[in-house]
Amino acid sequence: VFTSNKNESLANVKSKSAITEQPVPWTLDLGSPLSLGITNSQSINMICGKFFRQIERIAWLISIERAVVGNKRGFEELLEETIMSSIRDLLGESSMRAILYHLSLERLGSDPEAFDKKLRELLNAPATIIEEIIIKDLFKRLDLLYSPKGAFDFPRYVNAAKEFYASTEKKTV
Amino acid sequence: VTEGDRLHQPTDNLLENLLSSGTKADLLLLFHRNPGLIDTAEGIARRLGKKGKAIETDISQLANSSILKTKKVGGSEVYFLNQEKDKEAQGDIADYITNLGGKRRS
Repeated sequence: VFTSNKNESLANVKSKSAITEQPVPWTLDLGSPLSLGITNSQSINMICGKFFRQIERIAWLISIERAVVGNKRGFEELLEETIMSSIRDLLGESSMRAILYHLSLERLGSDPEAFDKKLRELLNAPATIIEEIIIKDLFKRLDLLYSPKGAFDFPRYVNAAKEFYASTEKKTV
Repeated sequence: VTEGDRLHQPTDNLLENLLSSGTKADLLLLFHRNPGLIDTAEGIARRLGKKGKAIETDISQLANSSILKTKKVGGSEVYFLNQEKDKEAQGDIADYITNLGGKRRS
């Protein structure tokens, strides 16, 4: 049984190789290697080469897109973490949770204008003090010097920090 | 005004009192992050990158609210966190904020 199977499999290999020696129609779409007198194995190599170069290019484009999105999410996560830890350290865990519940923002770090507006509506005057603590912490984490000038503007400071974060990320890439 | 009166002030006043200035918030943050800290006003100011005079009023007010305690050590007055009262104040503020959303919406 073993011998007959072996013979059968050898026959299969032979017949397969016979098939591969036939011109493959779809190779003509990619530069017509057969017309140039190139052998089938060479044409397959060419096709594979082109195919893998395309795959590499797509992967490279995806990695760029991911880097841009990751950069944005990276800052949002940093801001979110800073907001939470600043409020927690200042007023305690329960107050922090109560504030976040009332703000009902899906992502704390994605919209500083909405955060500012809602916090002011909720707490009035103390909101500015809390926001200033957040900005001081955020700047400290980014190794930036916080030097307040004029009226305090939370979104403006967040945007400045975001720009700085983006520039440092570019340098590291 | 007794210590008890000061602690039982309305919570919105308590929150506004505790966060009435940036320096007061900095002091609270410093003591919350270092609950075992005991230092003079001058030393605490240095830790905040300020001069002693700059925090004098705010640190006294926090002591008056019983959030900080003072005692004499070797002729100098030192400040430290009154952990029990601070916890109590944090609980009151949390309750106040929890009920705040409903009040503001209605």
